[in-house]
Amino acid sequence: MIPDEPRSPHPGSPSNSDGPVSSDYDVLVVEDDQDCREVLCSLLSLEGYRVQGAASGAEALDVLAKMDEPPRLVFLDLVMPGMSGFDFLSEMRRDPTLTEIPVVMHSGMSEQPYFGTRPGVAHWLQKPARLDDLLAITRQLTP
Amino acid sequence: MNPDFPVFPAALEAEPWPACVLDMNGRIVGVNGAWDRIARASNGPLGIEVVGTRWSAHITGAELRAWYETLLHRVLDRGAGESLRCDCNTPERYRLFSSRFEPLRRRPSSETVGVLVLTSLIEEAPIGERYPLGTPDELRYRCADGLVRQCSGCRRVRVAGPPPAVWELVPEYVATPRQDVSHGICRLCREIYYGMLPKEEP
Repeated sequence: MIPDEPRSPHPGSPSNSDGPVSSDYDVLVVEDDQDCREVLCSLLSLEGYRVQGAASGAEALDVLAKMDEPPRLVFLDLVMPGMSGFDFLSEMRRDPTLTEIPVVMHSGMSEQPYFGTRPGVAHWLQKPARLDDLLAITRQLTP
Repeated sequence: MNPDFPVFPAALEAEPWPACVLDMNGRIVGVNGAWDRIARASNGPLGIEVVGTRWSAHITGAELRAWYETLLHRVLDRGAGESLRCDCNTPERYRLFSSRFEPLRRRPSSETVGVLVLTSLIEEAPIGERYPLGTPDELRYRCADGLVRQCSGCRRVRVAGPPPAVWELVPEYVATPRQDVSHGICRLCREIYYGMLPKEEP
C-alpha cells in the first residue's frame, strides 16, 4: 500500500506518515481509512503535489511538529478514532504558525447541513470526491 | 440528434424519462429532452456530451458493460426488443426502473437501423416499505477502535476482522447517518471512482 510502505519521500510520490518527514510538503492528508488516504495521496502526487499522509489527528499533529514549513493545504477526515477532525482542527489552530492553512473537510456525509459553516474550514468535500472536484479545490487553495 | 440518422421517434420528446437512440455500432445518435433534465439532477453527462460516443462506454464496471453489450447485440441480431428491471434506490426512496431496448426499423423496408433505449420509473415507495429496518449486528461490524467502516461510494459496511475485507449492505447504516461511522472506500468503488486498485487487499 503506497502510504504505508516505508520509503523516502520525494517529489511526486505519496509519502508515508511513519517515514521521515520532509520540511516541504504541499498537502497533508489526515485520514484514518488506509484506502482513502492512499487514493488521495496518489492522485495528488500524480498532479505533482508533495503529499504527506497521517492516519490520525494525533499523528498529523506529530507530523506538523516535525515540518520546518507548514503544508499549503490540509485534507481532513471528520470521523476518526481518537481525535476527531474538529478536535484536530482546534489543536492545529492553537499553533499561530498554522492558523492560515486552508483545511478541506473530506467526509462521507454531507455534514455541512448538520454542522453549518465551521471556522477554519475552507471547503467541504464529500467522499468519494470526484477527481475533477478534488483537483480543482486543491489548485484553488494552493495558488 | 444526428441529422443523418434515419429514425428518431418524435414521441420520445414527450417521454418523462431519459431515452436515447443508438446506431448499429452502439453509438448514441440522439437523446430526448428528459435526458438532460435527469443528467442535471444527477450530475450525469448531458446529451451534447454523449452523442457520438459508445453507449456502453457510460456503463461503469467491465462485467456490467460486457453484459449490456451482449444484450445490445442480441437485440440488433434478432431484431426483437428486450426489457429488464432493476432497483435504483436512494436512502429514502425505493425505485424500480424498467429499461426497454427496442429495435428501430427503417420504413417501409423494416431494416433494423438502431436501437431505442428507454428507461422508465415504474414503481416508487418509501424505502422502509420495501426494506423494513431492523437492528444491525453491532459486533459484526464494529472495529476494535469503536468505529464502523462504511464505503462512501456504495454505502456497504465492512465486516470487522482481518483481511481480506468483506463488505455488506446493511440498510440500517444506509438509512441513518451516525457519528460512529467512519467513511472509507471499498475495493470495487475505489476502482469505479478512481480506476485504482490497491496493490494488496486491505
